[in-house]
Amino acid sequence: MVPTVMLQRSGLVAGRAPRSLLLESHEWKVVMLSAKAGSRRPICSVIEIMKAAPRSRSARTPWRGHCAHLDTAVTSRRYTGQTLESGGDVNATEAGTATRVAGTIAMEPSQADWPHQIYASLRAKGVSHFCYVPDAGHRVLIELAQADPEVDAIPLTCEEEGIGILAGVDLGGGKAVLLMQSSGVGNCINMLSLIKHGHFPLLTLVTMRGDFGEQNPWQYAMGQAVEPVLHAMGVITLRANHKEEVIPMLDASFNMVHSGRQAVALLLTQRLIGAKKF
Amino acid sequence: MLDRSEILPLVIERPDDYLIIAGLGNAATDVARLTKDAASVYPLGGAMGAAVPMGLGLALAQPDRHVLVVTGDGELLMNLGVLATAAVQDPGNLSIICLDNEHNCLTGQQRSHTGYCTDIEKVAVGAGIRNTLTVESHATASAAAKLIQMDDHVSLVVIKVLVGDSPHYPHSLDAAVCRQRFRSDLLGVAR
Repeated sequence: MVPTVMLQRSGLVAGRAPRSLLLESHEWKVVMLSAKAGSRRPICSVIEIMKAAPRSRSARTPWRGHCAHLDTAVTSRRYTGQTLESGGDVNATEAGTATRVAGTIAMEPSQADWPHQIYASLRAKGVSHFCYVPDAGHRVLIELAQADPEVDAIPLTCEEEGIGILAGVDLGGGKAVLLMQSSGVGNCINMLSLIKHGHFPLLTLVTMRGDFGEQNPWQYAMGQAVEPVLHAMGVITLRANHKEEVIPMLDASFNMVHSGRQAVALLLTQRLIGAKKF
Repeated sequence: MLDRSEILPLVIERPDDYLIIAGLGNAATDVARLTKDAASVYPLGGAMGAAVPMGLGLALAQPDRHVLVVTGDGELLMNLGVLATAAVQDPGNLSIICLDNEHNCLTGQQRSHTGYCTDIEKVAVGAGIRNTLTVESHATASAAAKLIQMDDHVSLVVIKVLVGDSPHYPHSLDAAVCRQRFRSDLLGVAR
């Protein structure tokens, strides 16, 4: 269960889950909470803060919330763009997301920005169809796509469907991306013959398992086979190991796909996303 | 079981109205004959299981156009899960026709699962496809024709046809040429 901040404000019903607040079309952002003023080490998991609709509130309107994880009130007195300063002994920093469930390696706030940056970049480049099989590593991207009314967020029963859907979107003049875990790559092999033979553009973001620090033995066979399999089917792979590599590699991948008309898989390795403890 | 060359034109009354994805084998041949190998058709020659996903992607990218997938039972059985994916997205401009001869013709006419006990229309209903119909006689052809023209939900029509290869009608097996031809015709782009 991911701890969340529940915003309690007039006009919103206290105690309802964040998802239902989202359905009320309030703007939302994701922040992290740190233990004391000035500290940048995240101690909470994904936090959702609701701001009221722009017509009724300004960005400077204070909000109040409660962090279940810390069992403490969180308030903002001033919104200054990047930093929401709070009362009490808790700071809220708008910094993208940090996902921390039991046993994961804690991530620094700077590392946690990249899912939001990826999403913003893909949207700016005109990608409006996000195909995915639910995956923990892609959780933020999936949630962002689901929350975006301008986007088709398409859950798949199997990753190979995403290959066909991407080709169909291309025939229709659109741009799509396939989000999958390394284990799903093996489900795509024969379908990639369509991409290779048809010279379709293909962009896929693959969160790696069976990689740096993996502790589930089941993940190794496919994880280590991802690059040989993709290369055998004519897909170029790039590996992003560190946060600062992600956006440059995403930009490069996009250009290779849509200008170079190649099939490219950007592998988000476990050095980047962390390894679950088993 | 019906003659596919007779029944298909009765169900697809106006092929020009559709962007068509044709599954490999007899389905692609039938559609090539029906449309005289039109540029608005993308014929598959492999990648079994790709027809419905491609139709879904095309329907989502071109919401103002009718998109039709015409494929055989063998190709559709290769990827039944996508019926659930299509049902969840439910683009009303997408219709699927399955020419079900209960055999895999390209590989030597082995009986397919629909020749035993599998009912593709029931699978589609269970997957969440709201508009479904099985055509087993000429009497239901016009109902099927109306169903695929509806815009409210994804439609799926199973047409039970006789086993046997369709007479040859030339169409390209070059997937890249077909992609460029299709996009040039639809979007006016060169590549």
